[in-house]
Amino acid sequence: MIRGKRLLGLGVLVFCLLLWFLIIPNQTEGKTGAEFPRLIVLFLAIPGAVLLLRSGAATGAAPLKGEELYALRRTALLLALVCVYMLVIPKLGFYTSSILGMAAFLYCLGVRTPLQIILTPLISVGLMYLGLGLGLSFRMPAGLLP
Amino acid sequence: MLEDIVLGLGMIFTPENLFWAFFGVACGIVVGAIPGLSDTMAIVLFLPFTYYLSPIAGIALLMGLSKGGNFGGSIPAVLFNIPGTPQAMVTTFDGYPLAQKGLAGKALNTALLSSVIADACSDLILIFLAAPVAALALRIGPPEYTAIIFFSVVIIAVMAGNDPCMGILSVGLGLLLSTVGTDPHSGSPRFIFGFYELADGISLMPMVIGLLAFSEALRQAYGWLKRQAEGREEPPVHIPGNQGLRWQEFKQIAPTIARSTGIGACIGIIPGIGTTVGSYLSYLAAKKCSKNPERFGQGALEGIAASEAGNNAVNGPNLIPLVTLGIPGNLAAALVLGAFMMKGLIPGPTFMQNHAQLLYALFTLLFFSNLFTFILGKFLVRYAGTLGSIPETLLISMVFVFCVIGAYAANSSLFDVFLMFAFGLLGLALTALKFNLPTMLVAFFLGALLEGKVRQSLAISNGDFMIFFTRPVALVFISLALAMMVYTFAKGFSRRRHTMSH
Repeated sequence: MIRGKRLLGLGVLVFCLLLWFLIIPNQTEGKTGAEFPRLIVLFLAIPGAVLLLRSGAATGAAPLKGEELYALRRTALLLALVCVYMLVIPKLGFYTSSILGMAAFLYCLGVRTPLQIILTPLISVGLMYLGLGLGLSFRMPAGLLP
Repeated sequence: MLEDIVLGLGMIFTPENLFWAFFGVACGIVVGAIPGLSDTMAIVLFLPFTYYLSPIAGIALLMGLSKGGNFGGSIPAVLFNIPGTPQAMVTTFDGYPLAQKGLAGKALNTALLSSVIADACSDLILIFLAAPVAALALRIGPPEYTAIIFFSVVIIAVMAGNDPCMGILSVGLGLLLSTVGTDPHSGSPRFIFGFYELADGISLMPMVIGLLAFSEALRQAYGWLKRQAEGREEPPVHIPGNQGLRWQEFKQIAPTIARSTGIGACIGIIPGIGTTVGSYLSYLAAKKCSKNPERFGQGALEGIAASEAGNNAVNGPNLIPLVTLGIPGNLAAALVLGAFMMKGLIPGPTFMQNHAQLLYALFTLLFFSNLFTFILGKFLVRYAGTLGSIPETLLISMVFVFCVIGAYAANSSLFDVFLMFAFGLLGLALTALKFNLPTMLVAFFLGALLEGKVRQSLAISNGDFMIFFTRPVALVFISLALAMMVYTFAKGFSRRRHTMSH
């Protein structure tokens, strides 16, 4: 844990140096433009230095257990599914993608009853359409739908 | 002031405003009552829709969510021993033992009554203190203003968690993110790295939703999958019966409610300390003042009353720095500030002068929200057990979809949806590194104001930073902030040394 915090402190200090010498001069105009961002860099550098100077015994992170590894893999898959869901919204439209996306999320989260996987997204997205689309006249990307 | 209050009253009695306040409270209680969902997540997910409502209706919805969610958080604390909101943690100490004795209904009714009374009193404090504080705020110049913001930022940073370093880093990162966009002085883009969609700054919605709701939903999904893999059983649910408080019991808890309201209100005025500290200090004070302290932790009604009154009394005074100085005291206040900004209203010293009627209308709506919380709370307490049995898989899937809707809502831009996703990943990484995301967001909201005041001060002094040390009020606040930073760092070092020597 201590080693992790020291590494974080070192990372923060390197980030501060990059900001001060590289990013801020290139991304701001003139001395006045750089003033406030540089004050923030100083504000960031103080805890960075304190973290780096912290002493203590280095302890490694505990290896992941089987259940944790399973949950981590599934969460990564879920994240990939969300990414795909967002990518298909412009093509399929929000409501169609959301029905398919929700069904995929439910499956990934361990729901195996076909009726639940089909009906839950249909009802939920239907209610969203009633509340947002019709109730608040809120327009989402239509995609395939007219 | 009285004239403004009367005119403000006339603005709120429209079916639209009252409906959204009622709807906000109802959703807040329901969301707060579902373990894993918090009032903050409810506010974040509903915030984009306030764009489509009038200013009063939009803020009424958010305040309703906050108030309803605050009480709702006590429901899983009592029934499942899982605090629905962080501030409800202390409610579990006595709420759950009482539920185990078959008195869940009494525990929830105590929580409801204490919440509503303390919240109403705190709203009164807000109404009567806001105008004098705003008048005082009008007299302060840019250097003093800068010093007050800096002081607030430091308090928020050091109070953020166990490690003040991580709090200060979170604040620094929030301030840095606030500089993305266009330089207010030269008008040239800065830190946008070729993404011209960021020229107006990072959009509020994608950032808030990504950091708070999307990353939280992913964490919940991980937790759910892990529990499933471990085959862990859910805690038993204690169905609340129809057990109201007797007059004798109310008389017994009334002094605790009064004391906790005072403690919570004092804490609420100081930005950054928050509801959790309010409830914890109130609980400790109630235990210390009790004739039977040994009953605390065993199901004492005073324990529940202290926790709930202490955390709800923070709400009203917490809005004082927001409406008078534009400084949000906590995340909920920061999100309300976001809603104000979406409507083109910028809270600050002149806000009270220019929009007094609007403000008093909103303050009055806070009372209505309290009334709605009481009515709906009484009704929903009976069905509280059912709310906890909504499948977590459904909630997580729906939150993902709502995140997309919310990110898209403000600008109808798919870029914002991907920005939300990116902030979700950033939120996961920062949480793993023990950053404090609510603190970072509050700092992000304060960034533009702080930059403006720093620049005004430096313009007055021709670029001389000594202006912050030669004006007495500015000097006091900057010295206090620096002293607090040094003290917390020194305390952290000595605690670490003490731990290592043992």
